[in-house]
Amino acid sequence: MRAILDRDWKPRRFALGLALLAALGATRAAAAVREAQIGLSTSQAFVGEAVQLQVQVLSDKKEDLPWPKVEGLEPFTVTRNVSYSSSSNITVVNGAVSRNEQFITDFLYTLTPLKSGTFTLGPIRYDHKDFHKDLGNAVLTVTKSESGLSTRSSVSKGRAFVGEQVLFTLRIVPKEGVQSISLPQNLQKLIGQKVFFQQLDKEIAPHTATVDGRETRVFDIRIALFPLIAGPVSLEGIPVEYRQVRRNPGSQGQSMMEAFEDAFFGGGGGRVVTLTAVAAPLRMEALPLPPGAPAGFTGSVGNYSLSARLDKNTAAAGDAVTLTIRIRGNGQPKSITRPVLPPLPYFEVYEPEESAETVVEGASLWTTKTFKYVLIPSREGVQTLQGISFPYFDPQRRSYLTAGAPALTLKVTPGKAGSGGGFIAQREISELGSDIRYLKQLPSEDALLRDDADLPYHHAGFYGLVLLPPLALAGAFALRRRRDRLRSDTAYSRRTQAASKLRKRLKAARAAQAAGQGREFYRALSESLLAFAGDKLNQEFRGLTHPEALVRLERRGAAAETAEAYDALMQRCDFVLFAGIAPSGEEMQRDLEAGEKLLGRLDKELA
Amino acid sequence: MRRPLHIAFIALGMLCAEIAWAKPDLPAATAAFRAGNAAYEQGRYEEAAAAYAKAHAAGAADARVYYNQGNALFRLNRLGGAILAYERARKLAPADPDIEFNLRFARSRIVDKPVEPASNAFTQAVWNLHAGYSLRAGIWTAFGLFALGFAGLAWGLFAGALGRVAAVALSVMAFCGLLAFSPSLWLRVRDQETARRAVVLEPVAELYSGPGEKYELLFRAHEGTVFDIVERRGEWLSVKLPDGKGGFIRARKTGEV
Repeated sequence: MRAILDRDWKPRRFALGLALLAALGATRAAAAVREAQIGLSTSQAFVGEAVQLQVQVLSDKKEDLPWPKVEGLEPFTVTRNVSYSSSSNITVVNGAVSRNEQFITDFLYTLTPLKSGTFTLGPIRYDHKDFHKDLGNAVLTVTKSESGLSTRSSVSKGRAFVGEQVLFTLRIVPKEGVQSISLPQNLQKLIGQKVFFQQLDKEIAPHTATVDGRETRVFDIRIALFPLIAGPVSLEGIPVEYRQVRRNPGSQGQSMMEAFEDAFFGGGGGRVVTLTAVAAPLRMEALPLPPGAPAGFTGSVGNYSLSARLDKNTAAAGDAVTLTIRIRGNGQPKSITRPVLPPLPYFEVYEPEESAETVVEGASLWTTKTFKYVLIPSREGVQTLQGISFPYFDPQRRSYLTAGAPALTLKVTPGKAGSGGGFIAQREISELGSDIRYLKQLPSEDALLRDDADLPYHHAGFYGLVLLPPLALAGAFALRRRRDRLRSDTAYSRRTQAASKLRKRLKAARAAQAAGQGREFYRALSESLLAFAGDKLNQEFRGLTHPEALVRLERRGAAAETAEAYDALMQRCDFVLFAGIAPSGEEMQRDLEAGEKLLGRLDKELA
Repeated sequence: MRRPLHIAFIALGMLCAEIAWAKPDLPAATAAFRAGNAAYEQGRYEEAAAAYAKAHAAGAADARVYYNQGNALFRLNRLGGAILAYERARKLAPADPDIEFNLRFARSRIVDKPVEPASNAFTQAVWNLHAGYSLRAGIWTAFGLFALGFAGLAWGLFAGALGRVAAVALSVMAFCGLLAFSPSLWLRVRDQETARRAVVLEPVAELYSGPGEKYELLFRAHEGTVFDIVERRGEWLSVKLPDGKGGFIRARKTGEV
């Protein structure tokens, strides 16, 4: 790295470094196999007896080597395993120390013969890179032998309810030479997830029993089964591993060392072998529990009893009392859960301390669970703890039953803070609510229920309502702009307000008409016509004459017919005003209507 | 000028009518509710529970109906049904202390200890603020703030200098209030519309790793245990507890809140 960073770094130097690295890598990759050899744990075996074939490979580097090629494994069940080790050898020659390290890879084949006969394991070869070696053959003679034991498995009942205890017994009758018996570790896998189980006997010890009319030494393995799910339950055959001293099938092929061992250790031609016998599989049926389970039922099936007691009969208010509840039963141990206490309004109740114990009585597993509650009475007097119950299902009676304890009484005397009677500490008052709160009523006789689930946003109208505020703001904005324009633009103001002013003036004309004042009527009508024209033309009407207004209206775009009508009506007004005649009410009405129509037309034409 | 105003008033009237429309048969529901209360007071809890069921079948999704139904079922020792009814009541009236009390009381009687998410005083206070108002009140409050914000702006268009400052301040406060309140309201609406919960109604219910009894049995839940529903697969519900533990449970063994 430093060379790379140096200023005088040269490509040639870098190339040299790369070459060195490549050479190192090549050296590392060239892990060579030096030697390979085979070994067989025995040359003679029984059917079912495990034999180990070992292929040992020596190499100069530690690495994952390929497996050897082994032919002739068909008559066996084979389990493969590999292990690694190393050894080093330090040599000093003429003061020079050299160290030679070699790595050993052991390829292990555990072979279990399936049938009798003489089998040749091989040819066995090992090939890796430049190393190729034929490791030869190994010969194994397998003889048939009678099993060292017989097994008989049974269940106490073929049909049981979910959660009910069923006794599974595996009776092993050993033959001569059987030394020890053990069960596999993975029993749960064999029994399956549908069944909870517990082995009744911790140790597998022999005892004497009558088998086929004869007193025989047997091993009984007893397991309590508790089906968890309704339906058929299959129990796989349980493999029983045992060690047995066996006489060798023959001396042919026996190595000198084996012969020596047999002679020296008194084997008399026998040796200890580890064998496996598989018990026959079993089936049973788990029945579902009938409906109608009571409240608080937690799946306990079997026979149960419950006891409850207080550690004292008298206690002062505020002092602790221990309530011990024991539930005992032969159902599934985990089904016993904390019992439901009756309401204890005058007690402070703490979380219980729980403990469990399982014992084997006869051929059954019994569980006792103990719950210890600390209660602190808060009110003096005789306090009664109502009966505590535990519901369970009795498979014999096929019905739900309740194990219970009678009510308990506790005499509570005044505590330290008590003063004669009615002692209730402040803290405890706040804790007295131990029942549900009462019903809710409607506020009045005619009140109706509500539909609280009917929320506003479920209705399209709500979204319309949401749009209203922005629309109202837009309207206000438009109104503000119009107001500003009316203030700043006189022509616009007069033009847009012409109609409303006209309505006021015509109102005055109507009033005059109603009063029969002809001159006043025509004055108001004449003013209305002139003022409207003035507003539309942006000119004060008082300085506007009738002919001038007519000319300017035509110039602004009023139609000829409208102008003529305007002229005629104005002349009519002038005529009445200046001639001094008194028009009839009908004439005034006709002229008013004509004026309104005319002004309507003008409004449209001048818009 | 008058015509647009008329149209606006008519539209507003139609909106209000639309919102107020489609009411369920509340008189019939109310009669059933009163009958249920009478039966309960006489100790006929079975009859009371049936009457409350009839009340909400008539369309009254009223928290009081569910609450009283929960009480009747509790008296009948049907803790699962009682918890389901209280949960339904709480969904409609989350700030009601009686519902909360009875729900907690019923939960204290069930076998499985309820799994509560860990919280401190601060998160509890925030939660209380968030969950302590009814959704209907929250929606109208948000709408009120929204309308007030726009009203302030509209007022500012016509007010004098001082009035304009006041109008803008009012508007800013209203919109800030709305902004602060919106996340809570949005979560509540989402919870109301999408979150589904189930209560175990049978004494014991098995939970499997898949939708069928052939799958691995994971654990058992007892009556009254409340799960969040993740999804439905035919007759099975995929459910989980607040601590993440979950599985598939038969839908018929549960009631949906």
